[in-house]
This record gives sequence, C-alpha cells and structure tokens, in this order.
Amino acid sequence: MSPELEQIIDEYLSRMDKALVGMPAGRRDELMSEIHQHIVDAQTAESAPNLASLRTVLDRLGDPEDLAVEAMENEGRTKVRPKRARSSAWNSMSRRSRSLIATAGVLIIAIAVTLGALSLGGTAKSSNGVLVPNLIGESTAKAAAQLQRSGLVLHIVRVPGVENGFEAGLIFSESSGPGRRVPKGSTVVVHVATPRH
Amino acid sequence: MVPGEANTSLAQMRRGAVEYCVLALLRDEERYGFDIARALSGEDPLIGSEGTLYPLLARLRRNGWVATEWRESSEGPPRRYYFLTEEGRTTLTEFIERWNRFKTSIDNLLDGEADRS
Repeated sequence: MSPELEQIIDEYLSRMDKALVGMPAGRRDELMSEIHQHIVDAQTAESAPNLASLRTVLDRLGDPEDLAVEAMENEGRTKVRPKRARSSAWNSMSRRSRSLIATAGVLIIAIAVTLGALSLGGTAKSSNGVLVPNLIGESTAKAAAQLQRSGLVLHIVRVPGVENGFEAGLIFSESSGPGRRVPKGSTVVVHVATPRH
Repeated sequence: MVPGEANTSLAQMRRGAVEYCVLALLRDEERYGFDIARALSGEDPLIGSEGTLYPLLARLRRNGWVATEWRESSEGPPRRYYFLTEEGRTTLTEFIERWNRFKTSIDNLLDGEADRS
C-alpha cells in the first residue's frame, strides 16, 4: 500500500484511539487491531486498491468517533449470564446518561485533538513527520524504547495461542508500514504472540 | 403513526436480531471479521456501519457464544477467525425456535389485516 494510503489509515486509527478514552486497554487494543485488520482485508479484496477504494472502505466502516461511542456503550450492555453481574456505576446509569457522557467525552477529545493538531501543525509540516521503525521480530521492550525515541505511541496487542511458528514474546505484525513517515504522536499497533494457557 | 416510526421499530428489531444472524453465519464455518461484515451489509444491511460489527463481536465473545483463533493467512498477516462455541450453538438453536414462532404469529396477524382491507 502506498505511503499516502497508509497515512490515511493511520489518521483514521489515531482518531478512533483518541476517542476510546476510558475503555480498558485490552479491549481498546483489541478493537483497534480488528478495525485495522478489516481495512487491510478490505483493501486486499479490491482488484485495484487506491485512494477511492480506501475512502469507500472507511465510509462503510463508519465515523471513528461514532464507532468509539458505540464501543463504549457496548461495554455497559453485555452479559445475559445466569448470575447477575456486579453492576458498576456506569452500568446502573441510564442509557441516555451513558451516551451523553460518552458523547461529551468524545467532544472534549475532539477539541483537545484539534487544539493539539493546530499547535503541532507547524512543526509536523516542517519536519514531515517521523520514520516508523521496523518492529517485526523485536521484543516489546525494544520496540517501546525505539518508538519512544521517535515520539510514537506503542499499542501492544497480545495474541494468546498463536500457532504456526510465531515466536512467543516477539512482534509478528505491525500496523504502520515500517520506513514510512507519520505525524509525531501517531499510534503504532503491534501484535505479539503469547503462549496458550 | 408518526412518519418514520415504522422505520425506527424495524431498526430496533434489526439491532436485536443481528447478534443471532452473526451466530448463524458461523454455524457451518469459521469466518474473519471483514468476511462477516460483508455478509451482513448486503442490499438490506443488518448493521448500520461495518465498524459496529466489532463491538458486537466483542459482546458475543464476552457472552461466551463465540471464540476466536489467530490463523496465518495466505495473503498478508495472521487473521483472527471467529467460531461458535457449544453455548453459542445452543443459543442459536433456541433463538431460531423462538423466532419462527414470533414470525408466524406476526405474519398471521399482518396477513389477516391485509385480507380484510
């Protein structure tokens, strides 16, 4: 995929990541990685993946902030289990207040992101972003250190019981294409194989 | 009836039924997310936007109705495949029975009304 397309995907994922505040890290990583995989699969299914097809794929996925709200609402709307789940404050709130809070959260973040983008705009343009290092085969500790130096955010998704020879503890897949330039502060999602319990 | 109200009711029903449609899609084979999303977004789509499938899948997983496994794919990185658990299979069977009864009684009422008019 071309760097231009990769950047659009990264922007989409970053917007969603930022809107998913308050979601437990594990669930959030999982959702991010699924959405990323969906985009890659959708583009792979195209005979000629290009900007137009990517726009369609993202349109069909939906607005990243809306998806974040949906996902967070969903957190409180689980379990049809026989034993009644302990109800948290979030669960016992009415649907309406939950969605109000979620919407307010998203709005605050949207404003914060806009302000951040405005203040960073100048620097990002002049330096043309940072280079994404190749993290495949690295340990998470090494990857974290590398990304920190580059001013990027690491999101680790642990994949239990990956078979077919992925070495446990090492990164086997990375959301951003290594060697590309992305805006500082972008999120790089990596998958790490962990042994099955 | 307020214009669009029938539409809203249908949207709510769709929302309630779509979980079981996902279970039904997994009845005979395991599938990955994108594959499920496309199966649900046909001419009369069952999901609002394809992205909403993923929170839904997370819910099904937390209910213990589906489970996942990462598998290497021929093209590109490993994919997460979804499959039905035994509990999911039971849930689906129960839903199908109830749904059929529901469908029949609604159809009977609607057809009866149509005959009279």
